[in-house]
Amino acid sequence: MSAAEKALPKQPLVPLRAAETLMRPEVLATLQPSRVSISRAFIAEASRERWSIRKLQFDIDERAKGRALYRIETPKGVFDFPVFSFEYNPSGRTGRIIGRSWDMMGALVEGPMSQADIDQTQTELPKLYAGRATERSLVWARSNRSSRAFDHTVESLAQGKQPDAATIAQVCYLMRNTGLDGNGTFGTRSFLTLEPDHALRKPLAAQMLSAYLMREFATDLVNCLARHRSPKAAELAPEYRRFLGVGNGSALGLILFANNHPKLIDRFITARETALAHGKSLSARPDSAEVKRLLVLLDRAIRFRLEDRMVYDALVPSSRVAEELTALRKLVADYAASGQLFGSQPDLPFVALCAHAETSMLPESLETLHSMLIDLVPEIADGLAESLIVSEETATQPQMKTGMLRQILRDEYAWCFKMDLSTEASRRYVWYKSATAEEPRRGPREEVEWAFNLGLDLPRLIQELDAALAAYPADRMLAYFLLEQPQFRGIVARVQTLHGLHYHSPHMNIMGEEFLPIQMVRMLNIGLHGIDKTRDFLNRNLRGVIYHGAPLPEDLRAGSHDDWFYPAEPTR
Amino acid sequence: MSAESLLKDGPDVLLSVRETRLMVERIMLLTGLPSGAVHAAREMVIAAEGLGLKGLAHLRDTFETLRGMQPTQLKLLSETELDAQNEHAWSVGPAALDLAVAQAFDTGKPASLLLYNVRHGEFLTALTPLALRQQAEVQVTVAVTQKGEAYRIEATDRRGQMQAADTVGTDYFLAGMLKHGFPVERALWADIYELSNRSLTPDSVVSRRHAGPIILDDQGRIIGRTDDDETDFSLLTNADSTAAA
Repeated sequence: MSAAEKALPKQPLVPLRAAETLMRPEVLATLQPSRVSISRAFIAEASRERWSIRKLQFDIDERAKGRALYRIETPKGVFDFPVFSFEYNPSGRTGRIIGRSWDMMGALVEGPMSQADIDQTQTELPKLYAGRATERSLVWARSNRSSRAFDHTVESLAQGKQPDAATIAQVCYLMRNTGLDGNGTFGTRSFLTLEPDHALRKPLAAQMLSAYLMREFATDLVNCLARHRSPKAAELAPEYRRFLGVGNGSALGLILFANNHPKLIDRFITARETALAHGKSLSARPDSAEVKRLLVLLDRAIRFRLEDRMVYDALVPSSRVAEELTALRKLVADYAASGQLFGSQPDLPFVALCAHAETSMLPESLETLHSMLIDLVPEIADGLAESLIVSEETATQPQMKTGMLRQILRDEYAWCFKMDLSTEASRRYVWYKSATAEEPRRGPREEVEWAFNLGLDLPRLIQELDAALAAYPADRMLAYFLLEQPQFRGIVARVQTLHGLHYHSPHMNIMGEEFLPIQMVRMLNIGLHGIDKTRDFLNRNLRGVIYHGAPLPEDLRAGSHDDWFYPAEPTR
Repeated sequence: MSAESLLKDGPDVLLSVRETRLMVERIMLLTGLPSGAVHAAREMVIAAEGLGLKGLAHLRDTFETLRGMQPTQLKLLSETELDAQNEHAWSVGPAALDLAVAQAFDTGKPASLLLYNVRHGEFLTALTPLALRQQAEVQVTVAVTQKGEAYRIEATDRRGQMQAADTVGTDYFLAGMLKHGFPVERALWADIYELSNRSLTPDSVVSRRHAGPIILDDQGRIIGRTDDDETDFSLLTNADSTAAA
C-alpha cells in the first residue's frame, strides 16, 4: 500500500469546490502556500527521511571566485552539487533569462561524481545552450546575489555582528535563482526515466533540491567572504539562516508551462482541494488539538503578515490580511472558550468558519485559512502530495462519435462558450519566444513583426472545434472528421485525454486584453511552488522567496523539522 | 547563439526526447503545417528516429520540400482506400492511423487500409509504435494492388490488453526513447538546432518590452519597479547586446 493510500482513510464529508468557481484566474491567483505546495512537500520528505547535506569542498577566494562541492545523501540515493562561483560583474546582469552574467552556476548530478565529470561540468555549464550535461545530470542551476542584502550581510559579519534584521527582511534572501533547467534540457536526465524509488522522482523535486542548495551556498559564501575580510568575522547565525530563503523571479514562461502541463495542474489542485475538504471535515471540538493548532498557526501567520516589509503594487497589503486573520483568530478563540461559533454549536466548525471568511473577507485571507486547515491533516496532505507524478502525453480516440465530443465540450468547456471572442480585444496579444535566449514574451500583435503564436488559444479553439463538428452527423466517427479537418487534431487529442478531469485548464483567454498574466504566475508560484512574499511587477512578473524559514541541513538531519511556515524575523 | 558555436566537429551528442521534440516542433511550424497538426507530425519524426529510420537527418535534408505540407490532401477513395496525392508520410500518417484504428475499434475486427501515392512511405512504419498509445496494434506493409503500389495499414484492437497512452510508464516505446535518448552526429544536431531557431522571433528593443519586471521606454525612462533589480540597462536598449547568451 502506498503512502497516499495509507493516508486517505475516507472521503471527506464536504465536497470539493466546483471548477466553475475555483478555476477562474482571479481565484487561482489567491491560493496561498500550503503543505501540498511542492517546496513544502519536498522539505517534509527530506526532513522525514533525514537527508544529509554536507559541504565537501569550498575553495572560494576573496573575490568570490572558486569552486565548491556539496553532497546530498538520501535513503534512496546520493547526489552531488558542484558549484562554480564567479566574481561580481554588473555587466550583462538581469534577473531575466536574457542575462549573461551570473554569480554562481551549479549542477545537480546523481553521485558521487568523478573529478573528470566535475571538470567537464565546469567546462560545459557556462555554454548553456551550446553545452551538454554529463550523463547523470539532473539540473543545471544559476543564481545571482541580491546586492543589497548580500553586501550588507557580508559587511556585518566581517564586523563581527549579525546583519540588521530590518535590512535583510526587505528582501528575505541572499541569492536569487535565475535558472533551473532539467528534465532533458541540455541533455539532463528526463524525469520520467527516474526509477520508481528515485529520491527526486516527484515533479520539480530536483529543481527544489537545487534551489535549496543555492540557499545553502549563499550562506556559505557570505561567511567565506566575511572571513576573507576579517579573521574576527562572525558566522551567520542559525535563526538568520532559517529566515533567509532563496529568491525567485518568474514571469510569462509559467503560463506556457500551465498550458503544457494540464494534468499536473489538475493533480495539484485536486490534491490541494481534497486535503482542504478533509481539513474542513474535521469535527473539531472546542478543546481539541486541531483548534489549539489552528490558534497557533493563526498567531504565526498574523505576526508574519505584520512583519512583512514588502511593497506590493496590485497585490493586497499584508496589513489587511493580518487584520482579517486577527478577526478570525478571535472567532476561533471564542469557539475554544465557549463552544459557540456564530451563536450555535456547529458539527463542522471549520466549514462555518470558511463560509464566514468567504463572504466577508479578502480571498487571500480565506485561502490562508484554507492552507492552515490543510496543515491540520498533515498525513493526508503529505499522501496527496505524492500523487503528482503524471504523464502529459495525449492521444486521439478516433472511434469516438462527433456527437459525443460535442457533448463533452458542452459539459466540460461551458465557460468557453460564454466568452465573446468576436472582438479585436479578445485576440490582441501574441505569445512567442525571442531568438535571444528563447525568452517567453507576450506582445500586442501590431508590435510583433512576425511570430508563431505559442499561447494556447483554448476558448477560441473550443468554439471553432464545436462549430466545425456541427457540420458532421452526430454518429460520424472522429477519424473521418480529422481526415478532413487535421487542424483540429491537437485540440481533439487534448480534450479527449483530459476528459473527466475537473481542474486542468484555468478558465481564461490568454490572447485577450482582459487576461492578467500575473494571476497565473501567482497561482503557480505561490500555490504550486509555495513561494512566500511575492512582489508583483507590471502585472506579469513576480519575485518571491523559496524556503523562507525552512529548516537547515542540520535540522533535516535531526528530522521532524517540517513545521516552519510563517517565520518570524530574527530578533538578535 | 549560432549553430557554429555548437562546434560541429565535436563528438556525437545524446539528445533527449524533450529537446528533440522542441526542435522538431519548431521546424514543423516553419513548414507551414496548421498548428493543430504539428504535434502529430512531430511524433512521426520522433518515432522514426526512435526506430532508427534517421528521421532527423531526413528532416534536415528534405526541409525545403516539406514546406507547404497539406494533410488535407488525404482523400478517402473508399472505406478501405486512401489517396495521399503525393503528400509526405509525416503529414498524412496520423489521419490514416486514426481511420484504421477507428474501424478496428468500431467493428471489433482487424481493419485494413490501403494508402496510395504517399511520399516517403517508409516513414509510415512510425505508426506502429504510435498506435500503442491508442491501445491498438498496427502493422504497416507494402502491397501491390491493381491500382499500383500502396502501403497497407492493418490495425487490431488491443484495448483491455494495454493501458491508456497517458498513464506513466505504460508507453514502452516512449519510455525506451526517454531512457536512451537519440545519439546523433554533432553536425546534425547543430543543423537541426539552427533550423529550429528560425522559428524564434528576432529580437528588437520593442520586443524586449514584452517581458521582464521593468521597461525602459524610448526616452530611457524606467516603467515598473526596480527594487532588488540590478538590470544592466544596455540589455534593454540594445537588442544585440545578449546575442551571445
